[in-house]
Amino acid sequence: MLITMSETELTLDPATRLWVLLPIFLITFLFNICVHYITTIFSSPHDKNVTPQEIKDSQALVRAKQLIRNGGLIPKEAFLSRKSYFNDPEDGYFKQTRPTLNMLQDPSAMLNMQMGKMAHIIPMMLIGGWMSYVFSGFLLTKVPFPLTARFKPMLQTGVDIENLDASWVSSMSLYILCAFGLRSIYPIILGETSAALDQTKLFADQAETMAAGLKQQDMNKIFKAEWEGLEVACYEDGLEKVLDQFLKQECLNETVEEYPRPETKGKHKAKLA
Amino acid sequence: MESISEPSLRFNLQQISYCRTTTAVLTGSTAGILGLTGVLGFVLYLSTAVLVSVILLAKAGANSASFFPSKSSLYLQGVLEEIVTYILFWTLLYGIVHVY
Repeated sequence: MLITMSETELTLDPATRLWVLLPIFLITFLFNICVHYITTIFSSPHDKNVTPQEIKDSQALVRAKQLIRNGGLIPKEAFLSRKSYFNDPEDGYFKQTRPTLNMLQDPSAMLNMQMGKMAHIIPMMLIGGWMSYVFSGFLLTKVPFPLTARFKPMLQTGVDIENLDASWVSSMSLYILCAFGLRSIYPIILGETSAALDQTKLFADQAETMAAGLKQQDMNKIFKAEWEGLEVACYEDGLEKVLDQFLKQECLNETVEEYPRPETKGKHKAKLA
Repeated sequence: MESISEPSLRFNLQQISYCRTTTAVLTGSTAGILGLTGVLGFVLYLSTAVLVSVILLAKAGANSASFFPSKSSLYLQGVLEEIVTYILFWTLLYGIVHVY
């Protein structure tokens, strides 16, 4: 591959471009798409293994959070009745107790978590190993900007030539560059926008994921924290000034001025002025 | 009092990052084919990033900041992350066109 070697310029065999540079790019790209579809097939919606009760709990937490944040937009009675549904000292939702699940007692939960992580790493390592077996030892291309010698081990994995300029890239490093650089392109190509727009499915998925996430934790502690948060939440009418605001807007709007007004208008105008 | 739907917020953010990624891929390829080296390439990336920010601001309107998690995400989201994509395409096309 290396025909001449001077201080600055190397001449590379054009066949390397066709048979090494492009294949590495294409294989990384296509392989990751395959991995995406394979994981989609195998992660069927049922493997999260959550019970209806767990989903109910996680959704109750979501509703309590929303009540704290947006409670001012509903009437006071509605706010209080929701609050008492969650926080009633006798039979409030957050007063219930759930059996605590110790993670060490349930090895399958831990195994599942490990498997989830491994599912991403193993294909990467497999294809990386295969690439280094087939394509190792090529110098493929040059980074179009100068680099210091510190980058040599990063960009020239598998090529140990001391006097070589640090901007030359070896085949293994190109693979790593592809693996990271292409990551943000997959959402565009795999079209996750359409999935995001399907809100019903999205919500169902989210609820399940959230419940699965909570599965590992002590529900009683979470309930207690949420109970405390809701206990200190006070009702604050967010729509108090909405009538004034609306009328103010209408007074400013000149085209509406021509139509006959209800009698209350004058009163409000006087108040605003 | 704010009441903004979470999925829509995430959708907005996703649209921004789509714009950023596409621009990074296209600018990277352009820089590679033109054979830009060194600082010139980074100047091209930064100037395109600024241009995209300006276009996004013009399209979304000045008071659209509340539709994003933070005020700056409309014009800053993904600018630094996409530089990896930019460098990949820059290197790849520079290699294909100019090195051999």
